[in-house]
Parts: sequence; structure tokens; C-alpha cells
Amino acid sequence: MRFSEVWRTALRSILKNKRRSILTMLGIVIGIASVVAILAIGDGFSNWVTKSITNNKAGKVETQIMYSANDTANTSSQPFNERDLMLVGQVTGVAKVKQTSSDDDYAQISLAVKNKTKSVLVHYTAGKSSSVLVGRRLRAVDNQIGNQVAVIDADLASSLYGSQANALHHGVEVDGQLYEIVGISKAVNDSVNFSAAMSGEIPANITIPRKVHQSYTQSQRTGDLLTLSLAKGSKASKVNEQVLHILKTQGSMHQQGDYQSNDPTAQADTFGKVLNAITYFVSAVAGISLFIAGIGVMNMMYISVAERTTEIGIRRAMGARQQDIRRQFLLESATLTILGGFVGYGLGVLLALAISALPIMPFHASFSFGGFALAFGVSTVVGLVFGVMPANAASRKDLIEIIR
Amino acid sequence: MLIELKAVNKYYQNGDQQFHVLQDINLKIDQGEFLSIMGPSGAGKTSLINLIGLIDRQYTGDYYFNGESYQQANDNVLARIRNRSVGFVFQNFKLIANNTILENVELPLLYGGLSKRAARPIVEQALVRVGLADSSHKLPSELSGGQQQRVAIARALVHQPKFIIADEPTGALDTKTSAEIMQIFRDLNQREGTTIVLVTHDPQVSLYGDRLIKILDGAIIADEPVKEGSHAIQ
Repeated sequence: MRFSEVWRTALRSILKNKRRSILTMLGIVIGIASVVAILAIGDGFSNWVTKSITNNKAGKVETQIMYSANDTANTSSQPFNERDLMLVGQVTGVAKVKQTSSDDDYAQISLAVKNKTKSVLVHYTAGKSSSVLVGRRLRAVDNQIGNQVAVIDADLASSLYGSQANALHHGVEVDGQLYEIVGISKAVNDSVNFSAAMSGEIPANITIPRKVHQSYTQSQRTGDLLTLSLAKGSKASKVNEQVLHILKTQGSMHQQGDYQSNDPTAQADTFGKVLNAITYFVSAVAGISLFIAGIGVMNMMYISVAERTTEIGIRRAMGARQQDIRRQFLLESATLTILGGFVGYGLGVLLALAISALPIMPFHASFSFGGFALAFGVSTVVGLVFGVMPANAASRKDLIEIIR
Repeated sequence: MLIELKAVNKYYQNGDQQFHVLQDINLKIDQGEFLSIMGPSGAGKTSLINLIGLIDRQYTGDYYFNGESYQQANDNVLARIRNRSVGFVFQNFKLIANNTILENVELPLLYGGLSKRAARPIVEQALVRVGLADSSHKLPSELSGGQQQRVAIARALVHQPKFIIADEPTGALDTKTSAEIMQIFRDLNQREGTTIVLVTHDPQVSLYGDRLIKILDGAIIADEPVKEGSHAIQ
């Protein structure tokens, strides 16, 4: 008997007992759907992480090593010499080393507000600041010509000068320099938005032109930063660890100061770990669901075999071999679970789309052929594994007993 | 010699008791014969035809089908022989309920390796032969008992087997329908030379054959030709 013919028989038998088939498929559907959804979200996440940490033009991951002296008197000496650069360059995973000066975009400073000291976040920008409620934004030209101006957030404005309007054209002191307040931005929310953090847009309390700030503080920081371009496939945290170890033991200034690393992937790693944990959990639940579903399939197949004893007898009398009967029931079981797998895949895709449509999700689910292949493969395997015993039982039925 | 049984015995274990189902059966059936086996229920008729029909291999003695013994053959060989050589007609028709008439009748052809497309015209032809043209897409439940048995006969002859085994083919049918069904067997045997082994406990039905075997308590007690004049109304 040809394969397509056996398959038609299997499909008809499944469709004939619709309710029973659907109930049996339910476990498969749930299991496959949850795995597909969590994989799609995980893929979406890792795509998004890769995109956001390789945002530079070369498309490579960059990490930074900072040096800070213990004693400020020593700042005149070079923090990194030629030998340091060579040592760092030899670490596996490092493609390129570049020495630069630190020009952090952000700094945490203390500010006296109504006799109290308050910690505020300062953002140094070379371009535009984000939108303002009152006054004007900072513009690129402020940075170029060195306007000593600032945009502060509504909360800070209120606590410094009573109201937003009052604060305009007054001064705010950053690192000992007074900046004129030209704009008031939206109040900074205390909770840091993860997606904003990853895109480098931390809402700051005070925003000032970078060049102006640098002109006052430049002397303190020269060449204290190494920017490492990583080779493809190397892990930033590992490379940083090795580089730090070398510098701390052999670096030219290791006795006069400390080396620190800045890993842009660290934050993503944390989120990735949480996501991994969720993936494992969902996979475990899905695994249990698939196992229970498999037992359900086995049960249904046993019932089907018992109900169709006469049919088996007829087929055997007409010349079906034991292997024909086995194949027929195996195919029926596999068809049932594959149908469940398809439905589950569809449901999983919908679920992933629904989850990535939630406003808190900074990324979109990503669907790959791998997810589809997994759904197809797993459901096939469940059908075959749990169908073997009923199919064997069907094929081994005694023809004399069942032909009566 | 199509079928040859030599000193065949069969025992059947039921708890502590052992039944001697078939006792020293010697039987020869030639190509083209129409053989009726008659006997009361429990006499061993069904055991005998299961054995002849290559369904049962639990016996002692020798059974040669076309000169060969299949007692030690594996399942695949046996299934192939059944598929090529034997056509079964059962008392309760034994049609697959959720398959159409076409699908029921084409089963032996499909298991013989034909494609559905190739089987189709052969099936239609077989249905015409039993007088059931144009009903290939009905389900068995839409047909009367007599019609269902016609379908079963079509299924039994569609692959041109060496012989047809009919186990009480009229047992579930009324007298008139029985006569129609038996006439089909008679025509098959006379016009096309199909070998038929018929089991019945109805003396009237047994008269359609050429040769009558009476069986009692597992032993053949009579083996005689049916007199020409005594054939039932044709």
C-alpha cells in the first residue's frame, strides 16, 4: 500500500473522531506553542542586543578600559604606555586597541539644593538635548561656540527656584562652573527605563554642552581610556577580565592606580540571564506538557486500535502485512501530533507577537525557520515515540481471533 | 492440485480442557471446483477454512497450497500469498464502515501494490460483475445487507485470487437475497472457473456447489458430488 494512501486513511480516522483528536492534541498544542513563543522572544532579544551593542560604524563590539589614579598628584604621568597597548593587543579576542580620553556622556554630581545635598545626573551632549517644556533645547551650536547654558528637568527646577518659570535664566552650578538655565525638560522618572538605557538615552537632571564642560576639566583626563575593538565571536566580559588581569599585574601604572572596565554587554547579559532562566522554565513546563500529551496520544491510539480490531482483521485478510498495519497506526499517531504541532506553532507565533506588542517590550519577536523545524520535529517525534507501542499492539493482533 | 491436506489435526486449548478441533483431515481441492462444507455449528468448519485460507498455521500434518507448505513461512510471505491467492467473503460482510464501497473493494489491489488510479477501473469492473455499478461512492451503511454482501464478493474477486473462501455468506440474509448471492457464486464458478470453498449449515445453500463435504466433530464424515438435478432453483 502506498504511503499517500496510508496517510489518507490516517487523516480520515483522525477527522472522524474530531472531539477526541482535538482533546488529545491540546497538550501538544500548548507545549509547542509555549516553546515557539519563548524561542521567538529569545531570538528577538538577542538580535536586538547584537544590534544595540554593535551600534558603531564598523559593526563591531567595543569595550573600554579606564585608568584612574589613586593619587591625583600623579595625573601628569601617562596612564598607558606603548608596552601596555602591546600587552592588551595580544589578548585573544582583541582586534584593535585605541587610546582615547574619557569623555563620559554622563556624570553623577552632588548639588546643593535648599541646604541639602542632592545627587543629580548630568548629561554632556554635543548635539541637541531632548524636548523641553519651557524655554529652548540645547543645540549643536551651543556646543560649538561654547555657550555656558543648561537644560534642567522640571523637578530640579522646582526644588531650586520654586517653579519652572522662575528657574529660567537663573544659574545652576556644575563642577564649580555656573551655567545659565535656558530650558526645562520633563521631570526625570526615578525608575530607569531599560530600553532608554540601552539606546544611550538616559534622562538626565541637567544637560549641558560637552565642549564647555571639557574646557574646564580637560587637564584632568588625558589618554586615560583604552577602547578595545573585539574580534567577532569573542565575549566582551571575558576579554575585559583578561585585559584587566594583565594590566593589574603588568601595566605600567598598576602601582599608582586602578584599572576598570566598562562592558556595554553587561546590562544585556543580565537581562539575557533572566530570559534564559525563563526559557528554561518554559521549556521544562513545555516538556512536561509534551510528555503528558504523548501519553494521551498513546492512550487514544490504544483505544483506536481496540475499536478498529475488525478493520485490522479485514486488512490483514486482504493481504496487509504486520508492518503495513504498524505503519498505518504509527502514521496516524504522527499525523495527529504533527497537526497539533502546526496548530501549536501558529498559536506560538500569535503569542509571541502579542507579547512583543506589549508596551514594556523594547524589541520584537523574531521568527526563524529553526523554530518551525523544531515544532515540526518535536511533534513528529512525540507522535512516533508514543505511537510505537499501540502500533505494535495493533500489528501483533492474532488474525484468527479478530477475523471471527 | 490447488489445495491438499494430509492428515491434518488441530487442537484447541481452553483452560484445562483440550479440544480436538480437526481430526485427521484429508482433503484435495482442484482448480475450478465449487466445494460446499456443511456441518452444525462447532463442528470445525471455520477452523478448517481458516487453515485453508492461510490465516491459521497452528496445526499438525501437511497442508500444501499449490504444492507448497506455508506452515513455516513468515508473516510477509503469508500476507503476500493471501493477497494474491485468497478472496474472503464473511457472514457479516466485514466491510470497513467508514470507507466507501470503492475504498473497500480496492483494498486487496492496493495491498498488492497497485496505485489508486490503476485500481479504479478494475474495481468498477468488479462492481459491475456483482450488479452494483454506480454505487462506488456510497458508504456500506447506505446499502442493504444483500448489497453489502455483493460488495464483499466484489472485494473477494477483484484481485483474481486462486480461490474464494465464503464463510456462511448467506447467514445474515433472507431467503430471496440468499438465492441472489448464491447465484453470483454459481456464475463465477461456471463462467469464469473460479474455485470456491463455501461453508454453510443451510442444506439448501450447499446444493449450489458441485461437491459437498459434511463435517461433524472435526472429522469429515461425507465427501460426495452434488447430483446435477438437485441444484437449487437457478
